[in-house]
Amino acid sequence: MFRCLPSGPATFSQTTGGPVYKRIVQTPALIVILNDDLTYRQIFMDGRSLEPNPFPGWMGYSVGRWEGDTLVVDSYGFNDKTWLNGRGLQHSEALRMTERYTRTDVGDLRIDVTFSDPDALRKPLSMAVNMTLAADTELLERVCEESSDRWLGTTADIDHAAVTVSPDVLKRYVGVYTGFWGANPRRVDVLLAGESW
Amino acid sequence: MIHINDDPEELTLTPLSDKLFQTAADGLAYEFLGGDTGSATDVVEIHVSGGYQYARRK
Repeated sequence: MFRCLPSGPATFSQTTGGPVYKRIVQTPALIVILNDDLTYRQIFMDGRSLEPNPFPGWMGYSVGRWEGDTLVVDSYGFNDKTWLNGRGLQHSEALRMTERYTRTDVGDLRIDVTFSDPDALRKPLSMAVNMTLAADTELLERVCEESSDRWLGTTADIDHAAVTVSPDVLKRYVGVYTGFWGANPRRVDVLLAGESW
Repeated sequence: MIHINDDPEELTLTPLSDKLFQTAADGLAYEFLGGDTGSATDVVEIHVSGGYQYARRK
């Protein structure tokens, strides 16, 4: 059961169409990122190394350094209960995340993110996230309490719960379905294995 | 199998019941509506943030 638990390492990539707000609090030795889903991250800037074996947590353990004007953040120590993207991509506790924060101009921030996970990903997964300065608002709460009764589970749960459905029933579901995921158009093509449009 | 938004990646659906399916490695669940006698009319994509209902177009 995936209830409204902390969003984990990829809070910026799990938007479902609405805006995601963050507040970045910067000091010389510590950067804190406050997320609007009521989670936070601490990025230690005091020159320490990553802990060799941190206790797996929801938001991981992060250290940062400056490479010119780019903030580079290395993180690991994540538990395996969160997703890497809004489509539910799972990861293991071996996940390591590297983020490169670059302020391209006064109002825009680009974050290049790479996920490495030898136990879950065949190759590193990279994405770029663009964020815009919200200068005229406060950080407001965004809580997903409406999803608390949704079953999502884990891969092992799926294997144990799988049932057999007759081909005649499966054929009734083949088709093209459209709608909106938040504000974003969504198209889902359903077809039987081995078939194509 | 499903494709999402013309993504060339095919996702395999595992049946959890006659109407409820889940992607094996991608976490989303899909519940088909209708389809008791003919084609399904809608599918609900179930995500941690809630369910998103899409109508069948063809």
